[in-house]
Amino acid sequence: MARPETDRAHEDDSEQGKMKEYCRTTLELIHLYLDGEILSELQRQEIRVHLEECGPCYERFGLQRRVTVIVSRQRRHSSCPQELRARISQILLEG
Amino acid sequence: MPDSKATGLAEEDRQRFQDEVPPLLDSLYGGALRMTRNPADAEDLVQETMLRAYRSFDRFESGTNLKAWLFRIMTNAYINTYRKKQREPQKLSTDEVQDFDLYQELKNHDTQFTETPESLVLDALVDTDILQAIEDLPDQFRLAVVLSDIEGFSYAEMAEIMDVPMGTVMSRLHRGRKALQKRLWDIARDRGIVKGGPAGDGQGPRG
Repeated sequence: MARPETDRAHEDDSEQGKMKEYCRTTLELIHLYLDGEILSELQRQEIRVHLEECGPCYERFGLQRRVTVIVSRQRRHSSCPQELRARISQILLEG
Repeated sequence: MPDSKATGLAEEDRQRFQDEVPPLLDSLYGGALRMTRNPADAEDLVQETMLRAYRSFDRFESGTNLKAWLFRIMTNAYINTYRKKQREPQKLSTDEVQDFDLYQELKNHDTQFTETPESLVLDALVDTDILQAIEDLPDQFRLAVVLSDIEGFSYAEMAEIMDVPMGTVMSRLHRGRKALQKRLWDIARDRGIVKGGPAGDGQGPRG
């Protein structure tokens, strides 16, 4: 099955198929790395080394991190309306 | 006797609820707004969550994460009540998302930008674009992205809140983030931030 985008994406990752597979694995683990979720020290080290060596993966990592930061900023748009607060207090007071 | 007969809550619990829950209302309302995608439903959802939480507060284990406990109640209430009456957005097809690679799109696109086009594209998007992209995500993806990236819950907490295994949490979050990148890209094209073919065809110019 033709997946030109993906193939092109990994064309310059390396000449070898082995490296492409490595990019894929790294990109799957990048979310855990980014989220500070549990990875072994060895896995973290492998990701760091790969990001240093592979330009495209490093850029994908940077893009994902930027998008996550932009999304996290949206929490400033969550302010509970005063009437709702008042209504809730009233209900709780009444038991 | 304290006037908490209706709920059976001990006065001590009642006081704790009134001290500890209101500071979390902004977060809960924000979460509700992202889930329901409209203020009226979000208010109803938060109010219902508060009633359910208050009634079962004696079952909340002291010392555990109160915010996660409240979000779990809210997520259940949302799934059981509100989601049924809402239509799913149809702005993203699974195949399009599966093959999408923002890095490659930016690289292929040969945009008018000469330096770091990716940061220029992302910087040009305003909060309403970001919120719109989040709203356009399919339900389960949206929930995962909101819980993780807006509310800051860990994968383990999300597994509790969504009542699914950790593997499912990860899969929904990763696919959700990818879908979000796709949606942001479409919005950037709609807004003319990147030039090219019609938004949503997933194909940048080759070159």
